Amino acid sequence: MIDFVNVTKIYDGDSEFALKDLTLSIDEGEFVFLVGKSGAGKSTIIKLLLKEILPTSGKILVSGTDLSQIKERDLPYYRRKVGVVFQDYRLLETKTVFENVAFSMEAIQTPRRTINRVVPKVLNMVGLRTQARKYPSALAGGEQQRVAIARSIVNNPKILICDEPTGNLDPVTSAGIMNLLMDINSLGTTIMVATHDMTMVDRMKKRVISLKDGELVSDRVGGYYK
Amino acid sequence: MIETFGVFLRDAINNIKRNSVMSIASVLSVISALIIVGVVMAIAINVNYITDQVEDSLELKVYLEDNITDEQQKAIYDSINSMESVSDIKYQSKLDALNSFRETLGEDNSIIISGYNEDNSPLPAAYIVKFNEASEIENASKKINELDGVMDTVYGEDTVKALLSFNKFIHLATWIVLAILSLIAVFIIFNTVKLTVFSRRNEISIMKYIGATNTFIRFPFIIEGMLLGVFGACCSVLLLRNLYYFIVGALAGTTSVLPLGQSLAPADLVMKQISVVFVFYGIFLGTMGSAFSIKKFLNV
Repeated sequence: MIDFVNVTKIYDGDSEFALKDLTLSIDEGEFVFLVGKSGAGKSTIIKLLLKEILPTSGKILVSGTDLSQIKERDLPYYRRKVGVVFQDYRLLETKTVFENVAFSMEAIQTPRRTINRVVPKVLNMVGLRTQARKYPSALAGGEQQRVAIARSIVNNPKILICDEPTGNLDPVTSAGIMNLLMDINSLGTTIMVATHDMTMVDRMKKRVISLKDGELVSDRVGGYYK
Repeated sequence: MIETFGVFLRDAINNIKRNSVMSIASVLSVISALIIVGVVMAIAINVNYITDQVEDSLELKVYLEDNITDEQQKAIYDSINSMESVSDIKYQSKLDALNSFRETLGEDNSIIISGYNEDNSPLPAAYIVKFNEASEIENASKKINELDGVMDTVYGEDTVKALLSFNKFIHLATWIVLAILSLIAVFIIFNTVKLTVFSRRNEISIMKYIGATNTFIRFPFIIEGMLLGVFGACCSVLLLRNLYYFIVGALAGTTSVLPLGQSLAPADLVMKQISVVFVFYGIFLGTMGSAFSIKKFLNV
């Protein structure tokens, strides 16, 4: 599903490697943790997967498509297959919970009738059905992250990328978010979670890809954070 | 398609409401830019209107020799009539000329020509010729002067020359001022809209991550710019209309508004021209301002 083939990334004006000759493969339906200290290359992998940046060398394939071959005008259609959740939620403060989630569907021109049918179901799935009319500022951190997750999965992406999804949350709330991601994964969505949260990674016993200074240091299924 | 446009329009209206401070700033910048442009336009329209009046009053007098034959007179008439720029020809007999002169002198002074009548009028008969364009008079005058039976041709040479150069200057000045003001207006609006767009860069970046196309992201902003532009234009038209009525009303009581007795352009004429231009101009300013401002934020 996701293949990094000898990917190297050096940012403009920087002499250090952000990623160095990285080769890895993630299968469809997998749940993968991406771990490592700040600057290890986790965010670079996410940016590359979103085609926000291009690799200096190497190839990235998603469902067999070489990302470097995707033209600028086709990029939005590619991004619809990849959901993304950020540590800071990035919700629209001027929109309600329902509107924030519906916004994802409006952005890809989904008919209003479908939006009205699907959004409540997704809000139900993330446990926020009763909060639909509230604004993000009225919600707790964990609830805001649930809205962000609902927004990212409402269009049924094949891949869900989470960048430090529990970075701002307490352990109990974090566990709730992880359970939600597991539920989404059980429906067939490939999930990649970049995190620092050692306890959570240890508890989940999923595949863990460890990075250090842009290099792959370990890749173990059921492995622990080292 | 209609549903998508509905979403764009709804988003644009909601965005205007939610970002009311920036929306008001945008409308105010459109109003201030258009008011300045409008004042220049109103001045230009009035100058045109007044010069048209002066042009209409300009005439060429073709004095005929006393001993002119009917054939010569007909030849002169035909020659003048064949000129494309001529709009009107009137014949003034010797008696008409005498009567006209008598009128000009007034009752008190006309005594000095009291001994003259149709048979012994000292004034020559003439053709009074009017032209569509003041610039044509000089050439026509030279040609007519060469015809047999023409004693002399007279027109307000200095007035025509002054009018022509004044007209040329005003046209040039109007275009230059309008071009400069338009640039300033676009710049002001561009910056205001840029601030609006900047305040919503988070929204734009989310849309990009979600997979919205650039067109989808851009359209609500463009519609928003368009709506603000039209609203600003309507406000400017209303303000200018009231200002113009006030000026016309204030000048109506005074007898000699302009040195040659011309009048200001009627408010309806001025506002009709300005309104049409403003609505399009407002749409143009708002749309361009939005389109250019958002471009930078689309590269995520």
